[in-house]
Amino acid sequence: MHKKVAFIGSVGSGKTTIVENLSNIDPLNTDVEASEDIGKEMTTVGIDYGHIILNDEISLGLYGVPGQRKFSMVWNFVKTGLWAVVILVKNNDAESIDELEHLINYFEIKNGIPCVVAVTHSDATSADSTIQQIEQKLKVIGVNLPVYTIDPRKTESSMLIMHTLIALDETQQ
Amino acid sequence: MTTSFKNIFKNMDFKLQNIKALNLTTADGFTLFSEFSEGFNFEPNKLSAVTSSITALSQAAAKQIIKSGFKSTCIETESGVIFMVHTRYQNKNCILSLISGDDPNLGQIRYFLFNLAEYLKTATLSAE
Ligand SMILES: Nc1nc2c(ncn2[C@@H]2O[C@H](COP(=O)(O)OP(=O)(O)OP(=O)(O)O)[C@@H](O)[C@H]2O)c(=O)[nH]1
Ligand SMILES: [Mg+2]
Repeated sequence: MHKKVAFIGSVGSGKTTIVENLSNIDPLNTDVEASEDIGKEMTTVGIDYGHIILNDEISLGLYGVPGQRKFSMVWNFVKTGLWAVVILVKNNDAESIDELEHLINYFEIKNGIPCVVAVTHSDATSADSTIQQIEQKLKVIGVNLPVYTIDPRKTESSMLIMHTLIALDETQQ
Repeated sequence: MTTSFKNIFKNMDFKLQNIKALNLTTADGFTLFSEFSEGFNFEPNKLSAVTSSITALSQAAAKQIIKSGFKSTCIETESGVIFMVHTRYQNKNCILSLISGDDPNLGQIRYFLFNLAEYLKTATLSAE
């Protein structure tokens, strides 16, 4: 069975990095040079696409979207037919934490869809405060999502999220 | 001789007969210049974001599927075309796009747009 997973989250949260890292195929990359200072050189303006085969039964299509809201046309392409969503949040980044609510509303994330929040950039400083803020927000929004810390540059850490989604799917059925 | 984007638009409009809009954006969707004909209701920033996404996808398709360099993308509609070409302006990767009138001549549009794209690579446009 082929399932579609979206990676959403603010600019620099690590969407392109995780798709590149997880994909078994040479991923589709649509990054261009950023003309504003966004803390990195390149930014996604189209879609990241990668593909992983988990086992005989399941393969996942990995779709990373642009973080910038002006590209929400691309969010609309990716939004339909989703099996699961991974929301990436950059540790200690107020904007990234604030974006959470907008994304949950835009992608119509409700209890029952496999979805996790993954805090990135937590290798240098503690993510405790970020996790606390996220959990508070989720409570207010009224969705119950697990929150983890991951490093999108590391395969093992990223794969953990994929297996978590499958476990969530199984318990929710 | 420096010219303005407004003049370029007027010139293009004259040569191609009733174009609707001409737009220059950075590759990441920041509008640099935008001109459109009277009565054509349109948001330049939306066009910039859309042309930037579509061009990036076209470029990825060209490079990663056909293994060839990207030249242009054309969207044909029931009332004219949107034609997008890659260019550079002030050393930045940019996208030049044109929205045609109702009865477009694709060959001409392509020819003038590629010429303009070449010109922009070394030009400095004046504000007015
Ligand atoms: N130190 C550290 N760096 C990270 C971590 N996760 C990602 N990065 C780096 O942060 C940057 C993230 O960039 P991208 O993957 O392009 O971010 P994105 O979410 O795709 O951003 P947009 O496409 O611009 O919305 C890359 O340079 C990664 O190497 C992390 O957990 N720790
Ligand atoms: Mg990206």
